[in-house]
Amino acid sequence: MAKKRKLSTPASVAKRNKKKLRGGIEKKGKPSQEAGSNVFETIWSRKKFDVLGKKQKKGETRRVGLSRSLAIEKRKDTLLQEYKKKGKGNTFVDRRFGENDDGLGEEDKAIMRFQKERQSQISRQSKFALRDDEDEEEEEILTHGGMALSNVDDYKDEDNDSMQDDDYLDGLSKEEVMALNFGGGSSSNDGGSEGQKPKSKKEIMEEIIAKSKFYKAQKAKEKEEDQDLEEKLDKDFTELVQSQALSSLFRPTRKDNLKSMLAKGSTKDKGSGKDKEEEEKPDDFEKIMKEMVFEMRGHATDRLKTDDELIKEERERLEEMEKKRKQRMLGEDTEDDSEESDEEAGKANKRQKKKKRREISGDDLGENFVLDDEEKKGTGWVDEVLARRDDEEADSDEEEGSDEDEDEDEDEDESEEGDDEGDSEDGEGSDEETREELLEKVRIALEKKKKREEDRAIAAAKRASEALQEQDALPFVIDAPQTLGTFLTLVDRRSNEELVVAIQRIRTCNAISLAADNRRKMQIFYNVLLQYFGSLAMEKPFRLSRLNLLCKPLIELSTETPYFAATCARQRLVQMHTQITDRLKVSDGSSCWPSLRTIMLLRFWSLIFPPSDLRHPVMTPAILFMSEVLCRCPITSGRDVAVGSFFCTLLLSVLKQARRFCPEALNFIMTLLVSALPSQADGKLDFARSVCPAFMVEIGLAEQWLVLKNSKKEIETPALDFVALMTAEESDPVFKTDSFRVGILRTLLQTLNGFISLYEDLMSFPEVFSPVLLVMKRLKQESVLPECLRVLHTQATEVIETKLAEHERLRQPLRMRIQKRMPIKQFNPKFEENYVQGRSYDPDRERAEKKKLVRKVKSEFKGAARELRKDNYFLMEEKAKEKLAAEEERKEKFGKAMAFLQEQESAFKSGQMGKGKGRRRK
Amino acid sequence: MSQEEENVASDSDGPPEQNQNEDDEGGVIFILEKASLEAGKVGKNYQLLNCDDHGNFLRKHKRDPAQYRPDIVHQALLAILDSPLNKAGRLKALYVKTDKNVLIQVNPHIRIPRTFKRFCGLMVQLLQKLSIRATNGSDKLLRVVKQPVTRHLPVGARRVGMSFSAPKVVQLKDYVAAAGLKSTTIFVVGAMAHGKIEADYLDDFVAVSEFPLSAACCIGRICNALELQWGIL
Repeated sequence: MAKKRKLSTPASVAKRNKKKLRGGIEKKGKPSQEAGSNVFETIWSRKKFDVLGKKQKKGETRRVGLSRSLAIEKRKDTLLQEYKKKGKGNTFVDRRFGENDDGLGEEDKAIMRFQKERQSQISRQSKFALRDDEDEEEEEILTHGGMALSNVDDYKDEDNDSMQDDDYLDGLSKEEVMALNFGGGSSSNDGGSEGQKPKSKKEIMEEIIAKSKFYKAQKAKEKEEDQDLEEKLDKDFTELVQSQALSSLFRPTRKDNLKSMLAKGSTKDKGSGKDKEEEEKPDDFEKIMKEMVFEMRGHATDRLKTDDELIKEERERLEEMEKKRKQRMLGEDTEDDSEESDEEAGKANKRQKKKKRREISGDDLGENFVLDDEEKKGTGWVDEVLARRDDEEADSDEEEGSDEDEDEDEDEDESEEGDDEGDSEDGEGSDEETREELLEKVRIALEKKKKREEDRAIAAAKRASEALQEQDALPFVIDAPQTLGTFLTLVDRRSNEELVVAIQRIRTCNAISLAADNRRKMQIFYNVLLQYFGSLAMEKPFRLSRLNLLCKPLIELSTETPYFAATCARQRLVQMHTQITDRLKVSDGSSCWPSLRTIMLLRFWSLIFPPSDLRHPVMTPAILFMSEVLCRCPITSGRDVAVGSFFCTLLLSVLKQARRFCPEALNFIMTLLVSALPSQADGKLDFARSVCPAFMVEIGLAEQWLVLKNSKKEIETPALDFVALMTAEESDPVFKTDSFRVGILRTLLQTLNGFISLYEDLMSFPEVFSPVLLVMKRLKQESVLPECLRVLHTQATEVIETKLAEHERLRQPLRMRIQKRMPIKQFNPKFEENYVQGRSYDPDRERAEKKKLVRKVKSEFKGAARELRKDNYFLMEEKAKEKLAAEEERKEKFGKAMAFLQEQESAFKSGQMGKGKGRRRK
Repeated sequence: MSQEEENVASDSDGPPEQNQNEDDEGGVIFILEKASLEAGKVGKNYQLLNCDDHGNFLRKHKRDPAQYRPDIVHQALLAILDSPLNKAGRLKALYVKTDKNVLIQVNPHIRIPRTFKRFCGLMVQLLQKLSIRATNGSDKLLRVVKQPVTRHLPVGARRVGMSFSAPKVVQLKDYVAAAGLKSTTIFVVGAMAHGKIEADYLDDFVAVSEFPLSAACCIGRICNALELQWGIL
């Protein structure tokens, strides 16, 4: 191998050779020197497992045969000896010379013994023999430092006591001290190097003294030189100070210091003065520095954000808010309840577009009062109305700006106030007004008298303001009005623009952040504004544009005081509810449906508060209130129908986001649709009972509200005028017209479509909407609807049908106890990442230790047992050998005896004379 | 790379009659033959030799790295033990016989480590300790058992070897159906990179595809066919 690779280095060659050698021994079992006798000793232990990459350790390869024979040898020496001595009291120990040496023959032993004998004799004699001759001076001499003691003079250094002085010793070198202490005063030591006569003790000491004296003198001289130098420096420094060269570098106080220092003239002070001198700085600098220390440090300003970052931040904020809204929609707890209202879902993009309009109002509010066009889809009437409001707003300025209008309003107000004061029900007055009065009464029952006075004051104020109106302009600083009266005095006669400006000024002057008291003031003002909102809704003629204008500040105020806004709203809701229930109890045949004020307020709250929350302090009761109205108030007039359908639309828009289920609205729509069936249709009532709840049939089908007079005729249907309908008298002929009916029917169908699309994912869609489908089919069958509504009708029908089919297809049949098949249990195997055999992986150290010991004991036990077994085997063999030997011996003896006897016998038989002895014995 | 056993041929008259298991439901036993699970001492530690990590080591010891493919075994074991067939308790036993003639009995309840590295750790420990217990139970999940594998197989169960080189290509669905619902079948699949299983105890030798399949794929086919037969979803 080494030969083949001639290029390899000698070291590696050697290594390889070595390896080869060892491998050869292992594999071929080449006999080693002592193994010549026994071929079995050449056997090596073999590898049990061939593990790739595992090198054999020293202990792992054994020569099995060799170790066995060694063990046998050992036993022969020990066990066999013991066995032989078994049963014997003592032993004979042969200690003769050479007896234990196997290499020697008897002759050699004898020779050796003789030699020993002679030697011992010789040594014994010589020990006591006197010395014969003087020449071999082997006498032992005591020495010190290699010199005989007899040569050393002990008393020579007696007189040098002064040498013991430490001062002197300081100057001595180590060698000298050594020489002094251990030199033994030997002259050869000192003088050896010089080759002269060694110095005497005295000479040495003198030398030492001289040396130390020299050192002392040198030290003193150095000290003197230092002092001279310092004095010189002092002098120089004094000169320097006196020459005023330094004065410019010191403050006056420091100068004084310096002078005093000079006066002192101490060298120490001078040193420190020097240091100070270095530290000193001119006065101006220090002053400036101190100023700067106390000055505010300039902070790094925030970097101006780039457009991208701004957009990103805005987006993150919106996402965050959307997340919160979703949480609240699902009714999860949010940590901060202080955030009253929140963003609408999916409006993020829209919001960004609307940002310009929104920037003043709070971010977390609902949509602005005037809805966008995108939202109109599917919401029906409300949005139509609102859209119209938009239009109206455009030309509101001209309308409202004119003085005549103002005057008219004024008159109306006057009359209203008069009604209030009188507190009597005017037969001629509309029901609504009376209702509103009632409502007002309930609301302010406690402060009725006060209110009266207030009203009077209002009236007076109005008169006054009337007089003043022309001359006085709107003041710039307005304190927040704390009653409706004062507010009315301020704004009632103003134009819309002035109203907005006035509210703006009030808000600016009384901003919450300006004074602690302002919060309370603004809260009261908010209440006043809300009252004004309500009273505006009740005004005749109805001024929608003014209401619209009020909305924006109200919304903004709501965000400022969210808790208070919610409280106000709840209070009013409670009042509304009690009012409705009271009126339902009376049941005098008059309409129980809420007034325009209530309607407007509900609509307004749906804008302020987030409608999607699972549980909202305002919206939840508001929704419940609307639902209750829908299913409890009997329909007594065309106006009720209109209000009801408006509520349905409102509910749809409110519930749309959270996709809540509202059966009341659906029932109401159904009832009205059924009522559109012609009265002569057979079993209309039965049909109604089959598809609508009984109470709805009762309250909704008293009259043929929606039966068209002549359905065949094409009716042109202008969009319904919400304001006109709401403000109209109950007996108004407009409710009897076909166009009104068609308008309502269209609204209902649109709302129904909205609900269908809202609930299409509902699990119970088939159950909810299959009666609707029946009604739709009936409507078609009776061909009630005019052409213009057919599209809506077919659309609704188709959607319901497809959805029904879809749900039916997806529904799983009910099954008895579906049991999931249980998979077999699985276990994880226990193993270590880097397992090393033999290492304990028990986390309990004590237990591991114990286990280890137990294992050791066991293996030792096994080993011992094995040894004993082998011992026994060995002994058995020995015994067998002994027995064999004894047998042999016995056999031999027996053979001998037998041979003798046989010989004798044969001799006797043959008649020969044997040996005389035998015969004689016989 | 791992071309396993499958094949080409034509007669599909299914397996002959089989002895019914005394169990009321049938089962299946898998044997992975010629699995390359070998621990080597690389550096200081024992490691499961694989061609990726120990290419140079293997070349140094004059071995063909292409033969060291424990990943095939890993995949095959995962395919068997993760199948719905096993979850439904139809896997009666699983044996792995390695190249080095070590027979490993795998408990069907074991959850084989998902990562190859951990699998290697497990196998190295198994090859040194000869048994692996569960972390939460006392039963042995893996253990090295005595050869030959036939001493562990139920009597009368049909032993089917899978090989691409087998002359008989069968439609597994029919083949399995012919065996009957309540029988236990033993499938012998090779878990090696190259070559053909050499098992002398086989009753039948079939191919389930006209293409050479990987072990995991072949096992997947068998499991699917059996699941279909026994209605395991």
